[in-house]
Amino acid sequence: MNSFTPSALAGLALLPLGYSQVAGSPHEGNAKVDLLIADSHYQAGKPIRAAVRMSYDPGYHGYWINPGEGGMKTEVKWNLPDGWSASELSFPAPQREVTGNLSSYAYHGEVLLPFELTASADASGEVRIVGELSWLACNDKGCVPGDAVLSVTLHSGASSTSTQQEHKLIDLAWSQIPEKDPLWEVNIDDRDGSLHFTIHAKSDNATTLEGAEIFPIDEQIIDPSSAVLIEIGDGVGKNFKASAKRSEYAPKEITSLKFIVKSDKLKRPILIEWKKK
Amino acid sequence: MCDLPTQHKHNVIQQQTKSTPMMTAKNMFTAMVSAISISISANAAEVGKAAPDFSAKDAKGVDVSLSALKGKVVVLEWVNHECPFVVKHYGSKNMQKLQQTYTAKGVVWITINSGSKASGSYTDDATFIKMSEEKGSKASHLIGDESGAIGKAYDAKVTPHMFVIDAKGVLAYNGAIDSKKSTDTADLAGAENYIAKALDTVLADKPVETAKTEPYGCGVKY
Repeated sequence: MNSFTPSALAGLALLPLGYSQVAGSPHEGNAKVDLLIADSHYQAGKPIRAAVRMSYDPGYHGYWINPGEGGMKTEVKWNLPDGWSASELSFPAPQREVTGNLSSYAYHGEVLLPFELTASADASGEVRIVGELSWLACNDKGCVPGDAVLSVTLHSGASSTSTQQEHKLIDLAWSQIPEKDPLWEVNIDDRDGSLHFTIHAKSDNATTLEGAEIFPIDEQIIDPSSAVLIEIGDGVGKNFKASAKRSEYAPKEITSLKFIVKSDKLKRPILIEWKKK
Repeated sequence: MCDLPTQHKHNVIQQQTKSTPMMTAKNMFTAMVSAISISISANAAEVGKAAPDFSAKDAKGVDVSLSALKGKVVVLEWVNHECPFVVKHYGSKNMQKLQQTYTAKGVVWITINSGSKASGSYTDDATFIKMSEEKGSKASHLIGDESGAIGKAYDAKVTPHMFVIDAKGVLAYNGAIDSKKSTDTADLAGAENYIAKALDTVLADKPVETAKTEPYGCGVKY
């Protein structure tokens, strides 16, 4: 167990579940944050699942990978031992949030952003993983920046069961991350100031997308000021359609769009990477 | 008095009255009550079109009228000193340096505080002026826009939101101050400086290439 000096205690923003620590930060950011790790033991060359857990104060919201209007994406700068790597943070589906006259893609309450750490091929002994997390939390009165230093100490060895609880939370977080599904075929027609989506399921047994919502991962293509909701489409088979107003900052020609489809009826959101033929 | 072909909007703005012991109650009232008038055209704040005209009294009680500034290049800078994106630019002195550099080249730099008291996040004019001065603002004019009339005419969405108007009164730039959407001063060095580029181009009487960008910042609360 670590022994905490009074000043170290003062610096802790949240008591963590496992081995990770959070250091006090110059900016509170109206959120409690911590680092979850699926295993306190690593094996050289192998990945370890992890997640940044954020809990925004009531009334405040944080932002998705595409924050929409205003806002700022949550980012982390890792300080890793030589040869170690960390994947980008993954983001579960957001909700549309209108504050004043700005529409953004946001999170309320708790959100887990999973990622993977990979140990170097020659990793050994005790290693310390450190990351500087920065985010923005806003309410209808204004915005507050947040910074925190997240860290965890790992040891070489067989999988440890001491982080079982975190392991479950992290796996659950991964299960909510949008994933590609070859079942769906998408076409986008750019005309009259809007993007017209047609989505076709290759199987008639596919879950309905009626009522589902489209969120663009790419910024400045779709105008966030109205929700993009999917309706039943035309033609034989399971077809769906939606239209989204073009962002005023979109280029003349839109040749690709990365977006997600979110619905309570789906096990997890669908990730679609459309490219113009 | 101004004769405007389209809509008038008259709003009362609070004026900071500098200590003037000789001011009578009547004079103070006159100084306090001021008209912001704007003309709202159908395509307000469109790059390549005439910038929406407005007139208002600045913090020192000086009348500022956009149409009277023809012949000068004008910058409009929407501000909120409590917004972390604005703090990035003022805390690092980036904004003040831009103000200094370009006013020295004859640019008229107008910093505007738009917002409504009812929104709950409003900074009153006296505070806005005091904070601007404390931070060493080198703007030509500070304008309180409590009614949001000027902000709405330009569709100023966030702080900072920057506009450049050329010497002919045409809007030449509308958008972000730079290319990095962050609150970290470390990001200033590597960012593309949209406002400086736009100003250098307009001062050289050339057309601005990157004339419209998505501004980042905290929402303006009307």
